[in-house]
Amino acid sequence: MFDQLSLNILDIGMNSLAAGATVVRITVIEDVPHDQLLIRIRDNGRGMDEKTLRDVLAKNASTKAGRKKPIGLGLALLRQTSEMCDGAFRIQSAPGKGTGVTASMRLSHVDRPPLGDLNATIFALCAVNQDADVQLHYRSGDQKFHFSSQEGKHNEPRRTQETQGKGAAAGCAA
Amino acid sequence: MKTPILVQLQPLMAALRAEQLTNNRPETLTGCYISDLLSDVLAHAEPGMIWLTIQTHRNVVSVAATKDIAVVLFTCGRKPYAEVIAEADEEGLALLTTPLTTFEAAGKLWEAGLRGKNGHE
Ligand SMILES: Nc1ncnc2c1ncn2[C@@H]1O[C@H](COP(=O)(O)OP(=O)(O)OP(=O)(O)O)[C@@H](O)[C@H]1O
Ligand SMILES: [Mg+2]
Repeated sequence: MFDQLSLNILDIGMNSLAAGATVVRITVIEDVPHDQLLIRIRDNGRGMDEKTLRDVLAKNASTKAGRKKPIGLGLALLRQTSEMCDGAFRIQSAPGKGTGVTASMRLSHVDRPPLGDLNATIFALCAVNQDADVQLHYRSGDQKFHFSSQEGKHNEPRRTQETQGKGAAAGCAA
Repeated sequence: MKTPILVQLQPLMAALRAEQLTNNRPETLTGCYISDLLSDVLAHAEPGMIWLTIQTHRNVVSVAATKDIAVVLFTCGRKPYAEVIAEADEEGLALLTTPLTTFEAAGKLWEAGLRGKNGHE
């Protein structure tokens, strides 16, 4: 458990980059009417085979090199927080297919940590791998926010107003 | 960094009204850290310490093992599930439980001469 969920997200995002992901898509949805918070981190990294995933879930196993003990806490801490806050936790992963980590929580649960500084988390992930596309998709009610660290990177430096519409954003990420 | 003051655990068991949950139990303690936030314990605990918490989740064992904590003392009468105790035994970590609150238990440990991080008073 961290005192800010953005630190959990940073931890999980770091896992994605460590797994060689070139795209890390972070989704945060605050659904007030249903009193739910959804956090998802999806990557196109190397993924986990069945045994690794089983050991990670059952024993907090880690494959990080140079550890005195093969224990990892990134996924375990997010799982604990989400289950403590009446939510569910799920990992979908397969070799070559990438990994998706989904954690939900009851938004109004008294022990739910605040989201905290999501900007700092995104910034840190971008700094760790400047070539990866780190994306944030945030939604709270009608409020929406999208960020992609590669958006516009391969575009001409000066863009006009018209080319910055939604379609253009998708086009330049490709 | 000060050399930690080592305190014997056995004489403290009665004052804490502690029940030993694991098979193993260390002779001595190097200090004490108290927190219910696991990331905070990862940042501050030191080897050989006793850690007081109300959290009984299995992640407590993982955190204690990573930090070479000697003993976890669950306060307010809390007890983890049997699987968690078995995992602690495998790791060579000792688990105790006390009916005292965290504050009361901390007072007993302080009276016995145990100190905090780097032996700080
Ligand atoms: N996105 C991912 N892609 C591939 N493997 C992953 C991914 N996330 C986690 N893993 C595997 O699961 C293990 C556990 O991850 P976890 O974040 O819990 O601990 P860790 O990264 O090993 O250590 P730390 O405590 O520093 O986070 C990793 O060592 C890795 O083998
Ligand atoms: Mg990790």
